[in-house]
Amino acid sequence: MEIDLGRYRSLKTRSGWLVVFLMIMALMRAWSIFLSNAYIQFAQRIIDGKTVTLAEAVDLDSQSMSIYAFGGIASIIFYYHIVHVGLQRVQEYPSP
Amino acid sequence: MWVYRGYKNIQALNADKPRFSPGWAVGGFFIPIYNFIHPLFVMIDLWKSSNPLVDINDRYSWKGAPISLLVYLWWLLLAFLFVGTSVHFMLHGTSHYTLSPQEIISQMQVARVIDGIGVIYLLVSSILVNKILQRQERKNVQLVGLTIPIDRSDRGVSVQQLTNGKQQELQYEQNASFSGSSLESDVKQSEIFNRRLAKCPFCNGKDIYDYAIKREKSVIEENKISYIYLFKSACSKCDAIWYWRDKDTR
Repeated sequence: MEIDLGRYRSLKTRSGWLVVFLMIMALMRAWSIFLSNAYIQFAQRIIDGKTVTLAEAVDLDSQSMSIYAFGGIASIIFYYHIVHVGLQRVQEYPSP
Repeated sequence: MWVYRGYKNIQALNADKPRFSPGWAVGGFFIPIYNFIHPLFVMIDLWKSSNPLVDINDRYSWKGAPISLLVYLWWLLLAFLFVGTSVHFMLHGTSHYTLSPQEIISQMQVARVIDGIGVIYLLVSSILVNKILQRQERKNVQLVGLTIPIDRSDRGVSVQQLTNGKQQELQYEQNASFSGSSLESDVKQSEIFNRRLAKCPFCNGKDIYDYAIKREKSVIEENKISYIYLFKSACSKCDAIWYWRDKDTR
C-alpha cells in the first residue's frame, strides 16, 4: 500500500475559525429573534391603540441595521483571515 | 477553504474517486438551483471518506461506509432555510413601512421561525465540522501509524547526549540522511534523536520520542535548500506510534 502522507493537511485551524464564524452567525440569528419579538410587540401595541413613539420605531430599525452591520464585519474578518492564513500556510507540513 | 482542504484530504486518506475535484466541491456552492443539493453530496463524501473503520487498504471501501443521520439532518435544515428564506423574501420582501401592523406581526412570526431554525442549523453545522475534523484526524493517524510495533530497546540510548544541541543536530543529520530499505529496518537502525514534551494524539501523554527515518526529497526555494524528512514518533505512555513529515530549511 502506497500512501502519500505528505498531502494530508489537518483541518484543525480552519475548523476552529469556521466554528467561531458559525457561532457568530448563530448569535446574529438569536439577536434577530429577539428583534422580531420586539417588532411584534410594537405592532401589537398599535393594534391595541396604545401610544407608540417614532423614537421606538427608529430604535427597532437601527437595531435591525446593527445586525446586518455586525454580520458584515464578522464576514469580512473571517474571509480576510481565511485568505491571509491560507496564503501563509501554503508551504506548511503539519504533523498529526 | 474548509471544504476545499477537507475535500483535498480525501485522497490523502486513501479514499479514491470522490464525486468532485476539490475545486468543483467549492464551485458547486455557487451554481444557482444546483447549490440546493450540492452541499449534501459534498458532506456525504467528506463523511464517508473520513470513516476510520473501513478497510484502509482498499481505496474504494469508503464508498460503502454508512452515512450519519447528522449529515441528513444538517442538509434538511439547510434545505428548509433555503426554501423558507426564499419564500419569505418573495412574500414579504417589501419594506415593512408599507405594511399594516397585522402584516408586520405575521411577517415577524415567520421570520422568528426561520431564525430559530437558522440557529439550530448553525449549531448542527458546528458539530458536523468538528466531527469531520475528528474523523479525518483519526483516519490519518490510523493510516500512518497502524502496523509497526514499538521497539523499546532503542529507547533511552541517546537521550542524555541530546541535551547538547550540537550533538542533536549531528544525529539528526545522520539519522535523516540514510536511505534504508524499509521503514521497519530504518527505525531499528535509528536512535532517538529527540525527546519532547508534546501531546500524544492517542492518550494525551506528554512524553514523545522522535526518530528521523529518512530524508525524502530536497527542494530549492529562494536559494535555500529545504529537506523533507519522514519522522516516526512514539509515545512512552501508551506505546502508540505514528509517522509524520516535516520540512527543514537550511
